[in-house]
Amino acid sequence: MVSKIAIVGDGLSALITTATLAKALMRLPAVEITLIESNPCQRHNVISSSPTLQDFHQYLGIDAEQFRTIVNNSYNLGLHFRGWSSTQQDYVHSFGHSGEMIDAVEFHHYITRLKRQKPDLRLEFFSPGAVAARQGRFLPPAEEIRSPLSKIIYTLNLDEFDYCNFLRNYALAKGVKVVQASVTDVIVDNDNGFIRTLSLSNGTSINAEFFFDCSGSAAYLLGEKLAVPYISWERYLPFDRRMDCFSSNPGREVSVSSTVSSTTAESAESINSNTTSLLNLVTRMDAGFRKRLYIPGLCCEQFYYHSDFASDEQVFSLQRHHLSEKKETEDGHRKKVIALKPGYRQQFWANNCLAVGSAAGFVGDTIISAAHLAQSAVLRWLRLFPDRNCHSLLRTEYNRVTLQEYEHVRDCHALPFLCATDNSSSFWRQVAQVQWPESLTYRVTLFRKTGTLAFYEGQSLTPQTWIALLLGFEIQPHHYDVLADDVSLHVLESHMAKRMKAIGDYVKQLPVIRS
Amino acid sequence: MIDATRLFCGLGFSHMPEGNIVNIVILGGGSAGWMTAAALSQLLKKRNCHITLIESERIGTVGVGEATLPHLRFFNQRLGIAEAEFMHRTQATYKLGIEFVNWGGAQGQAYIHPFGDYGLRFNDISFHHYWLKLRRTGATAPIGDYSLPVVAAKLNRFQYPSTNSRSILSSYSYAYHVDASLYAQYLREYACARGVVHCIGEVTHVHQHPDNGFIETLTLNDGRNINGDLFIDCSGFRGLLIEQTLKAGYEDWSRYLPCDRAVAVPSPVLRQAPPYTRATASLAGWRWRIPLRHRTGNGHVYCSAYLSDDEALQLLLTNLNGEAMAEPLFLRFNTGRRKSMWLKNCVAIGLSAGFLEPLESTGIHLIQLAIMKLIEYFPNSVMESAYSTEFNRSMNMEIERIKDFLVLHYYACEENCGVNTPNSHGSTLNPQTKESPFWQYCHNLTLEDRLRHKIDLFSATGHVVNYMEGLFLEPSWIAVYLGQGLLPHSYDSRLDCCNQAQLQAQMRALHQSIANAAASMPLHRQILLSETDEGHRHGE
Repeated sequence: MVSKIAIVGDGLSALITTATLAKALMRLPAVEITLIESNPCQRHNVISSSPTLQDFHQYLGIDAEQFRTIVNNSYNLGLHFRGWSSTQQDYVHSFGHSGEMIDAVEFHHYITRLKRQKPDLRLEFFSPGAVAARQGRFLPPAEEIRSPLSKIIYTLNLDEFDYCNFLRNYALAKGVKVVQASVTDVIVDNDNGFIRTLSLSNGTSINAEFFFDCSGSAAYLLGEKLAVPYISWERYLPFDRRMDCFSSNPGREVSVSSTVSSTTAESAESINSNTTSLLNLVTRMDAGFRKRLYIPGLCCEQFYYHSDFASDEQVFSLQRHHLSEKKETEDGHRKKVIALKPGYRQQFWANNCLAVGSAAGFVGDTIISAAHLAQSAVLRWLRLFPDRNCHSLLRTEYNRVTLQEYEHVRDCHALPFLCATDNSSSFWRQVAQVQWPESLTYRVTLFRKTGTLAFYEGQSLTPQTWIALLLGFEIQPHHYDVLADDVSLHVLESHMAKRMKAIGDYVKQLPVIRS
Repeated sequence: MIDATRLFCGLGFSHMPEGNIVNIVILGGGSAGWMTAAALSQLLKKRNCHITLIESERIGTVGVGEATLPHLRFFNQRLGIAEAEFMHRTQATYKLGIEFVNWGGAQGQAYIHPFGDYGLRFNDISFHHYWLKLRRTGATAPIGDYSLPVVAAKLNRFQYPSTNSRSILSSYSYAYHVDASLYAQYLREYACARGVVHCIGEVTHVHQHPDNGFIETLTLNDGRNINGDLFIDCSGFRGLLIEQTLKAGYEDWSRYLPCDRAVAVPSPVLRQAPPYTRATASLAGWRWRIPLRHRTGNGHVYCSAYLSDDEALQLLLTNLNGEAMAEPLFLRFNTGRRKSMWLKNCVAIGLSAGFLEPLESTGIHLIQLAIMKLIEYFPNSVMESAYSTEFNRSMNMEIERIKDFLVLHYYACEENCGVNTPNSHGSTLNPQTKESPFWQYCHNLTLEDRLRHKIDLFSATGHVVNYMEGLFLEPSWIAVYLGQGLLPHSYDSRLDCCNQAQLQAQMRALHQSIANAAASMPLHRQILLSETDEGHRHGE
């Protein structure tokens, strides 16, 4: 079996990889795992995660309560999309289910049916998570109130620095070696192209049988040394920069009316348009979008934009504009610009090297988190666990399934761009010209025409998530399941009203969360 | 902020659906026709559709003993059909899996593909890897001994699965063997009671709309005209509407699945009441045996290029468990699928949509699947083509995956002929099979890439290509791979360092607990008898 493993990289994906491997393999005899970090994360930063974080922690055997005392975090119940289309200002995407089947018909068909009479009706009214999040209410899971409603699914925003330290300590406790050095040379076997040895800046070298390349978008091993090309998806995910701006005092919700036109007072009125710390706010901008994440004591605004349409300076001044109403702190000016390369590595696994994180690709970090893709990648590799020869069919299978997952996640992150109908800036005019991937246009067209969801293989997104997204971004079906007509309008309305009342009553019992 | 619940305080007004499908015409009265009629009459009952089923008395239906998959239970449930009544009316027996006899393999002459898993997943590694590791040292029982439905089936025992997920008795599912004609008859009563008009006659003319080619009217031999908005073609292989009228085209798969004939004949009831279907590899095809309460269904699927009808019948008759109880029924078919199963306002369901041989009992399942998809994508009179596009796309995906799985049986069978594995107990090969040019053809088949990848990955590494949707998932593939002796060259290498003695002890314990659980189940025969008594007591 593969027993000597080296992981190269500084960021979260390297530590997710290391911790997962430590859990899965360190109990076996003769296993040696080494993490090579050159410049580990030194500053506090906020990252979002997906609800699979809890499964992942359970897999690692991490006590959830203890974890929350070590890693600075806040509860997150979903995303708050704002300003993405001209007709709808506002959509909360919660992680949980929105509505159960009625008489073997999916709930959303009834929404489509009723919407003809009640255009303000929304699927999110039936998601306990969305309703609670909009009111800033949530009860930590340990104290769960018994309720017939489906559980509120949540995840955590995390301090990246804390989380990296936590995972590093976890791995160290399992016997993983951590070396602080950079890789200066890579020695590759001429016969089969397998990586054999890494020479390090501290004068030592590391031999291993398998290598994880978590070195970021440069992909030092897989990209530079093994020359695996990178395929760009920049046309579908039109951003190449991310500027992170930090402030230490998140304060209250700041008006963003300067970037969001308030054309439909009607829909804005029907729901509380304020956002809360339980939601990560995702707002459309003239040259991209921005996402705001909180943890106690730290707020991070991430601006996603394309350098062809906005310079770093323009984005930074926009940021200062948003902060102007706040009392700025020293930290309020801290910023970091990261180059993004939407796309994927043509082979995620080549020879004896597997890329995880940005080295493998970048397909967005909003609806499905990058952390989720890293967890999923390592677990998938473990399911196909190779011996030293890394049979080529295992690589083929891994690459096949991983590409499916990447396409799936790419499509969901491209959906908001496809749905945007605004032509007010050159950036959005360009977006309106994009030829979207066929899998996405087929999915959208089918849903619009029939209200049904096309099936594609690929993990990470459930059908319910897709339906919520499609409705949330205003893909309004022209038809619904004929069986949804079987319930009389009167019965259906009373069912819906009861359901909303039950959710409202339940949410009222939950305490207000203060960030 | 508006209180959203107030949205519902307004007065409701009646909903007036527009452009609905009013007249549905089903052509054909076999299992496909009556299953469709029954399902539509129940599930669309509030639509006020007029459903007419046209059946020709002269054209026989292909109703023989039919083995099913567990999904049929959900179909019956959806229609509100009580299991006891269904069992009684269709002379049904329970089914835990399919026994494959003479298909090769190292585990002797036969293996069972069960409705259940093998062993338990442990440390995130599938059970079969542990089994493969132990097998190398010769210290293991056949893989089937680690599957409760397999062991129970061999003992002719049956019990309803437990609903307690921690019990070993919850590790399997079950299906039925039914008399397909009786099932159709039962569903006919069911459908007619729900307003389906049963019309005897033969179609003499199909009227299409001059512009768009939609089918409008069927003229019968007695001069009646039957109008429809939606036509369901259940007319069997010939595809009277979908092919003869609409020319949907047929994708021929006979290169991969070359059998093109079958002959069926009933025989007396099997006293031991096996709770499984049997599929025995034969000179140029295979023979089925389907145990029912009142008789046994038998048949021989074969390839006419390698075997004459007479030879096929002879092989079937000499292997019967008793006298033939009726004249043999010969069938011809062509494996493949209709290029468009839903075209214009016509949906093909059953044999008119395509044919896969019944080796894995998928016939009724594909009918059921098509019906449920039709209801999911039920159109209005505009016939939005997005519905048919997705219907065809998703049906194709299902049927292609089933095809791969069927081809595997043929391919893996011959692959092992002549390759005697060291552990086989003497000669396990059917001498007939070994010599057969038919099986040589199957062996030399150039597989399609998709299946090639699946088989190669398993052979090399022991890993199964998995997918989320599809009928046959990892346990099924493992059953056939290992059952037919396609043993991988390696197993998950993490097991290299696990403790052999400890593993052996765990496997022994598992083996024993499965054996005990199986022995504790009642005999299938007794279950059937007690149900019959029950039926009498309730005085039907």
